[in-house]
Amino acid sequence: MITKRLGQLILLLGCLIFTAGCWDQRLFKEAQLVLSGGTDLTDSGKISMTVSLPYVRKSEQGMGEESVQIISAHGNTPREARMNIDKKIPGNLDASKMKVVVLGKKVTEQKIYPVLDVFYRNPKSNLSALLAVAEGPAKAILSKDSADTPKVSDYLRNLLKSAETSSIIPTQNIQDVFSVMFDPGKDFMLPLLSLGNVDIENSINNIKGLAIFSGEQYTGEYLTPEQGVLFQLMDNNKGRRARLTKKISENRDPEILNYITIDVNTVNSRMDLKVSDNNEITVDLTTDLTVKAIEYPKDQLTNRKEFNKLNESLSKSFTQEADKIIQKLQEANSDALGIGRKIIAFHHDTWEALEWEETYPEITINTKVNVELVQRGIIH
Amino acid sequence: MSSGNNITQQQLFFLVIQAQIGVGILSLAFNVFDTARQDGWISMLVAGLAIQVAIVVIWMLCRRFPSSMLFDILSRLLGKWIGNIVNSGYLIYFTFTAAAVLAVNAQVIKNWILPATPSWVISFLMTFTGIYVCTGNLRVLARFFTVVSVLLVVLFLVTTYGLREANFIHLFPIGEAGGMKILSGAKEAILAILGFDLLLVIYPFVQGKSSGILKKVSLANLLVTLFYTYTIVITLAYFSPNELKLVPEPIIYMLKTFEFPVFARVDLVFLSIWLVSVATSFMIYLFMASKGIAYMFHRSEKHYKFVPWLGGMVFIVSLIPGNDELKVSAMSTYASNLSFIFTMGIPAFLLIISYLFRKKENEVKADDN
Amino acid sequence: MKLLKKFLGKKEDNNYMKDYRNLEDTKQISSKLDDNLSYIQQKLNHPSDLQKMYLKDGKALLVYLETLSDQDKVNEKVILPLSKMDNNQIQIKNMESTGKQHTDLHEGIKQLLKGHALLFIKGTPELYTFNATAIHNRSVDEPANEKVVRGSHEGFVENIIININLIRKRIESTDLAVRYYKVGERSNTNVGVLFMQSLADPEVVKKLDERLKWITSDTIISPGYVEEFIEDTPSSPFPQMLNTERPDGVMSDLMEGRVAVMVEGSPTALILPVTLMAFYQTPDDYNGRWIAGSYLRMIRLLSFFLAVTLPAFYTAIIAFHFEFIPNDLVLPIKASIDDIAYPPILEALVMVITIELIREAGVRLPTPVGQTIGIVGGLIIGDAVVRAGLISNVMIVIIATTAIASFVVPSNEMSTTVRILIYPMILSAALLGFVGITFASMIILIHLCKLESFGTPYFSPWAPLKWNELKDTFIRVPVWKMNQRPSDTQVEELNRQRESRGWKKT
Repeated sequence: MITKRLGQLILLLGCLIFTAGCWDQRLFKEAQLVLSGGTDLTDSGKISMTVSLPYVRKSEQGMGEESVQIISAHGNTPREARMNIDKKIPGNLDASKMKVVVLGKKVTEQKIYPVLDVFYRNPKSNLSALLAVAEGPAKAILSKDSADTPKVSDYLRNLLKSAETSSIIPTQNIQDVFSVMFDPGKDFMLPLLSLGNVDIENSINNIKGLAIFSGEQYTGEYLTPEQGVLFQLMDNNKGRRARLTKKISENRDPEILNYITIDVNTVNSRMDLKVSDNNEITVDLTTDLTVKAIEYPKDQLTNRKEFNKLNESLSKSFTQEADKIIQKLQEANSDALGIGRKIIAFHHDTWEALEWEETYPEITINTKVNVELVQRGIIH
Repeated sequence: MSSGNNITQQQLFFLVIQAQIGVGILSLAFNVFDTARQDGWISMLVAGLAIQVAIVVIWMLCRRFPSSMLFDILSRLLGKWIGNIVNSGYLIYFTFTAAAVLAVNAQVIKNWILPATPSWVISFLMTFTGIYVCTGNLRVLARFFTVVSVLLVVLFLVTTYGLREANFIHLFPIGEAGGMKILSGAKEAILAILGFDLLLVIYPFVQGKSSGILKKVSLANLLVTLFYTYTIVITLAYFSPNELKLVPEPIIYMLKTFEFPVFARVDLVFLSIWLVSVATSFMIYLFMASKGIAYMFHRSEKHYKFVPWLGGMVFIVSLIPGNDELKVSAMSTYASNLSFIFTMGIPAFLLIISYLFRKKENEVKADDN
Repeated sequence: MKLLKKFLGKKEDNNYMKDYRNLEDTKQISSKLDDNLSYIQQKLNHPSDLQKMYLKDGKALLVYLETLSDQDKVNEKVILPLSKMDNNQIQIKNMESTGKQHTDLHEGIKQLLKGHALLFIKGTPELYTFNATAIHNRSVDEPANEKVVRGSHEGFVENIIININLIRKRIESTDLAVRYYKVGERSNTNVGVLFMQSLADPEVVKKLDERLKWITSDTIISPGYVEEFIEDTPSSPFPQMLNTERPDGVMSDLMEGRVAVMVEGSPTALILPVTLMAFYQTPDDYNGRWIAGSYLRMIRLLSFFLAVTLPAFYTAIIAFHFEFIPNDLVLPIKASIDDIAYPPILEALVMVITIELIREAGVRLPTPVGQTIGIVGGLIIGDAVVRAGLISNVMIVIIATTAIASFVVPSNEMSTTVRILIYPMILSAALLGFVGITFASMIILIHLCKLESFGTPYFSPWAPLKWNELKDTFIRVPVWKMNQRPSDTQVEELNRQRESRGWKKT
């Protein structure tokens, strides 16, 4: 019976699978997780990689004590540096649960794709990790532990996530950056992490603003967190919350009475692109905000007139601020609003005729922010 | 034809859907983008239209021979000798396509989930599953295909999540690629939705009126085309054009970035489900090949006796390219070029012959089931 | 008897059944009482429980088996009426309960074995049988393994007559067909087949008839024996017939065109043909409100998926795809498994087997001991095993959930099946991760699609897909919406009701 023989052969092969088995097994307990990593450039031009490794002891009830080990190593490429780190630790270094990737300032001054390639190529890597730029070396950021949260990775991730919620930085993971990085019609910005205080003892990781990138390189310029919020609004990219404090008058005493804090309810930002026959580009950027006053110490929001006055002064000062942002971006040659993308899509011939990188700083961008106060909290 | 082989038109519908959705879906967006740029989705629609024409051709041919399988039709129209030669051609085509499906599948699994596992293991398991299902009759196939169609809904939902991050400006300017490029993109797209050729073999087993058959197959084709277009649109919108050039399996790459509160990696879910879709495509080719070989040995009723042999052969052929990515893609290119001849060329030719020589099956079977 | 003869006629070369077949030919009754008596004694191997009594001055002989017959009945039916008669004229015809007249002694012996009393009259070549069968039955209590919260609390007993009585009481119809078969060449067990003549598929009845007649085993102890002899695919892990002890369940199945098989001496009825879904339905679904019924259905189906896939899924995750764990769970899980000595597959297998041990140990013990086993096994082992670092506590959670889920299935047979399916799933998960799970699930699905029970697709109504029958699967629509029976049984008449809530429109 040949068919029977064949059946036996199949069975044999089946058994072979069972005996040889588990080629790809990577046991979770043997993995040494990397939850955050940083990349720096040494003076000799080598890549220096820093990782934070969490250790958790089991206790009677669930998780016990946590501790974090920070390890660095050098290499010619990030992968080599990572392999060098692997040599220093027990277990297999595993980056598939990476939460935050911090790039040192020096690295970002070169093109950043080469350092990130290792994330994009590996099927196991976590593409939803967050990417940030350190004001100094990434190692300093990662080595700084705060008292409450021993895990620096959690600390950084929560820091960035809460900045996303409050619209300071755009919601973007490492893959979103990848997508924009190769887009000639758009540039990206990354959160800029800083230790804040010169005094190392009292310093704490914080977000200094948004690092402005041009192409794949960091320009050295950044938007402050307040500018960041406004930029997200102009980009129609409001997070769950967008709060701004603005000075609306000069002469009140005490000083605190000069300020108002608003919470943006809705945002509607329009970009009108005008291309003239000789390929001159004018952009009108109109941002309509409806806002709610959440802190107004002067407390006289009783009549329509007061409303209008406030609307007017808020609109005016936000427009000024927006102009500043655009100016900064154009100076840095960073098309973070994606104007180029719009030209590709809707004025393709113009795009073909232009050298965008040279044109962008020259185009005219008019901004207008209209603020309308619609709510004033539970007191007037 | 035994009663155990008869299937309903609803089952035919699912058979066609499952046969069409297969290996292709992963790299579809990449392949059409390669030629048609951001107009890839138009290519897909064009491809769907072309397939529809091919379906009508096959249907017209089969309608003239309502109780004969392809192999039967061939020997009736071309005579015994030439018929047998073309039959062998079809056998080789079915076998080779099945092998190509296996090879590509093993490749993707190796790249994405199990890098260290030898590809023969994956292919072996796939072959085994295929043999197991094909030793049953057509009804078993139809039932299985129907059940797993639920998974397509999951694929659809998971893909839909990409809308959240989609940036539709990437689709503009529409029509920029130009007609020729869109057409050559359509050629790529056709490869992804092949599988309707199963109608050639299973037509006589479907119950009911022939117009109903056409309706069901067309509906299936329409759905698949729309589903594919949808995935293409989402991936095109999700990735910036220059990034898409670098990502050969964009749809999983996109899913890899999504994170749900219950599970962090959607691509693994997608791939596991996709594996079932690949399996169904593989099964249908294996089934058709076994029917063909059984016909050639004049034992049409006992196709299951040939299934293990055929499966073994397909398995071995699939191992030929080894781990070489380029050889695997060459193999799938051969298979697709063959498919143009066998699913469009020959049926059209047969149809012409049948009309020219007024050859037609005697009206014995007037919808006897 | 004709049937039996035909049935035996098939295998005339079987000589191991000699003594039994000796009763097949006829034996003249001797007019001498003692000859008959000694013949009977010889045939029955001189049983000690054979009671013989000469009445009427030795003119009549009464023979019965005291272990089978009820002494009171014998007294009442035979001895008392006889004693009232004149010694010279014994007129059986005049007796209140007339005995059946036979001329074949072998037939008499067969009746004797049923508990009837035999009366021989001197000088006549005939005998009379009086039904005096003693009935020792437990009451029709609710079956312990198929309890319902609401609804009928009757259950089958070990007597087939009572069981059929329970069905007949529920279906007062000329349509209910009852067929007896004698199965077991030595034990001669009564097997009853019940179906609705106008509903059941004649094909199924024919197949069943053929298969029952093929059974040549000498004893049939329980329906389990019958089941193994007549099922389509013995190598399948899935039960292809439903075992039930509930008359209301049998009734509803009969009304769907299914066939019930009952065996004397066992309170279990076999229902065939069935689909997978039948194992997930309970009478409770229909006794409560339909929304609640649907909810419970979904819970039960969910339990099926949980029970089969959960341990495999977890094993695959911690051995292959730990990137699948959501961020916030990474460290807790990592902390719990870091110090575990064994690989996940061993961990899972050890725990699954431990649960099986606890279950198997407890199942046959008296309740208090069983509970102790549960406490010792479940609580103490579970706790200690984690403290000792042998098994991680996440694994305990997973396996415990799985175990509970596997017991949700109303049918004990299906529950066992589910627990067996866990093993191939875990193994394939440990070999190839998610890919392995996908392949294993595919094989199981294909198997379900291939499986047929008496020509009925087992996986109906999912495969083949019948949209309008899904309403009694993962949901249960209101009874008045189910106007048609499920068609999987090839039921003869599909409609079971017209518009029962037509009053709403008037």
